[in-house]
Amino acid sequence: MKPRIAVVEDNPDNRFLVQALLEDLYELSQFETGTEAIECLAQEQPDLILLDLSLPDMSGVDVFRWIRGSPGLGEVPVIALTAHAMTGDREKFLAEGFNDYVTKPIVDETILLESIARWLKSPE
Amino acid sequence: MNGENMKELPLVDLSQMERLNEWGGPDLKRKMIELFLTHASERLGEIKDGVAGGDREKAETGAHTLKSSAGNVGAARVQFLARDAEALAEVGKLGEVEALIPALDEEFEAACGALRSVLEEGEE
Repeated sequence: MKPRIAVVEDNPDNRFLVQALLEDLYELSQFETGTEAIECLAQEQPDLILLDLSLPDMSGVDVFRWIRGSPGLGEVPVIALTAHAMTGDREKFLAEGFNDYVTKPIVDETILLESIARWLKSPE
Repeated sequence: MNGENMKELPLVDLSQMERLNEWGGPDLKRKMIELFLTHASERLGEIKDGVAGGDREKAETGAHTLKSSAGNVGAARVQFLARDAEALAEVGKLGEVEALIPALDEEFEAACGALRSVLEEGEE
């Protein structure tokens, strides 16, 4: 059975691109807003979450904090997916507790694929 | 890079087109271009509405999303200008964002034209 990845991303083009890159390898579920993700993630119980930090209804960091505080989701690896590539951001989000930080637009898909593979293998 | 040599960037970065082809074939390339042509003008509209209404956050969100979407299809000049607009909106310099709008409009139209040509070439 393929590992399950939840993608929380509001941009249709980013969702489509991530789907094209990952759908052969993983079982994907996609959420367009933080609210939708919060309503469904506990039931979904994904093996890993890709979380856009700029969502329309709430910040990705707030969604992340909810995930970490949720029974059954607290240990699930969460990779931040963001176009906010400012100096120091990576350190800031890793300090927040995200497992990894991948920047958009995706130019080198191996960065995303390797990060996912690494965290699915050793989610600690 | 300043506004002058922004023109040195390609209208459409063909290496990104090649990546899309590599990741998902002509179908992915076509779909990503169609998504950009369908949604990106709304993002440009958000920047303008944000500037007109003094809504810093709206302008920033529009620019952030436009930057990401432009990057996905290799619209390098739009991506460059949207990145500038995002950084300026983030610190509330809406007057300077407004000054970027004519260039954004011009490069956006030019990029859409170039992307339509890529679509047409794919159909031949």
